Amino acid sequence: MQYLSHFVEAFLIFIAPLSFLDYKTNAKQKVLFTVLYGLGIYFSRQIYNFTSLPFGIHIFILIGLSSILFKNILKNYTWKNSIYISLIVFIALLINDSIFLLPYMSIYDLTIEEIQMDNGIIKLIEMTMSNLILIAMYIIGRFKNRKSSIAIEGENIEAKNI
Amino acid sequence: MRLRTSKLKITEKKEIFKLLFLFQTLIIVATVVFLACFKLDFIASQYTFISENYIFITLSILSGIVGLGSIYLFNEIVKLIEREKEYELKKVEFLQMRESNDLLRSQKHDFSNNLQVVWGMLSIEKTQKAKEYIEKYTNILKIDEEELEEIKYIDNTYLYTLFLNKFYKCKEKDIEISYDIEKNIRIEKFNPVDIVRIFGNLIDNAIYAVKDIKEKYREIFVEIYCNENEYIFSVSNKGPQIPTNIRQKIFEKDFTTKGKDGSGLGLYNVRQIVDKYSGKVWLETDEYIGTKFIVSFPK
Repeated sequence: MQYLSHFVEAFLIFIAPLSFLDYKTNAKQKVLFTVLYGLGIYFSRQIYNFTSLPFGIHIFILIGLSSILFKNILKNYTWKNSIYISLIVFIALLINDSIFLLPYMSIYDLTIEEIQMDNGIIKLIEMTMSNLILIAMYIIGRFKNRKSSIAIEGENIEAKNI
Repeated sequence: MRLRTSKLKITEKKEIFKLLFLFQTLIIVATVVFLACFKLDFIASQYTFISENYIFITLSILSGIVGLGSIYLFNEIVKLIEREKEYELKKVEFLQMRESNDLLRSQKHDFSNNLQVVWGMLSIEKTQKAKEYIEKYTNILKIDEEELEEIKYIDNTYLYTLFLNKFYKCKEKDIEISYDIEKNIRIEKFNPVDIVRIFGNLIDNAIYAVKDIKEKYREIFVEIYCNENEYIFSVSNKGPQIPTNIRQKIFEKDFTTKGKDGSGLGLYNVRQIVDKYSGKVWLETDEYIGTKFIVSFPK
């Protein structure tokens, strides 16, 4: 379960902002990003076991990694856009953590380590809580773009009728 | 080319600032979240944590950088706005020059025709007739001092040039245009580009309205004055009355009565400019008096 959560987060980090921006991606791109970024999350969180770096450094490693992956996996995507997406997603995730995850941890008296080692319901709730904003972003993106595509279709039908 | 390069530089700077701003926001949010984690004992002891002092120093430095960056960015934006204003003024100057150029070109064309007429008269030895013709012709070209007197109180080069151009344009079409401008009126608070656009459109419309009617009705009257609360600009003509159905749509975008000659943007632009200054624009039209477009701006 603890490894699965990395890949779920990786998948959501890829599809949520792109669905919001109405950027169409294929299955290959999704799988590639999920696998590489999921592994990135796992290894970046392991660095504290080998070095005495202050806690939080893994975020900067992940921002760098996601920027590189966005740039290389998506076609016609510039460095600037990749960095923008990565920074905005991470700001959103951190705000999400402070609104949902920290109160949850406080109420149930949990530590980050306990959550990471858990394989049951605690991990499942944490996984949902920490990605709530990405899930919301994905749903809003889908809804927003479906509405605009319906409007475009409507215009096309009208144009045909004229 | 120089303008394009500097524009590009400003855009690049803006992008860099946006990225820096996002990065700083990230660091600030991250610091706050990690500080909260540390305070609430969510982070197990095995993790190294940055001391609070370092965090506060970092945050102070970042806030300073954000502040300085904002001042710099603000400066750049002000410069950009000024440059855009300059560009707009240059555009107006260019349009006025083009109008003067067209006028000169048409006069040059007329001039050679008239020379041919004079040459013809002289060649058949009708000297007196040639003299009369030359006198008549020079009278047409001449704008006398009295007429210029009416616009000399305008303390605005762009408006002065516009009125002068319209003088010549009207003279060419046998239209009498007169101005009544309040002495020492101060209109610097308005962007000259906007004022030129308002008068340019209204006078052009007035010229269009009267150019094909009987010569004795070809009159345009321009007024600029102010009362206690507002500035009033008006342009009236003795052209035909505007029907009610047209009056309702006259300030709408793409509406024109000029067919291919009109763009449908003139009066729409006037209304947009008037709205920008929270002013009002309306028209009074009458079968006997003609049509008057009035613009008022609060003081």
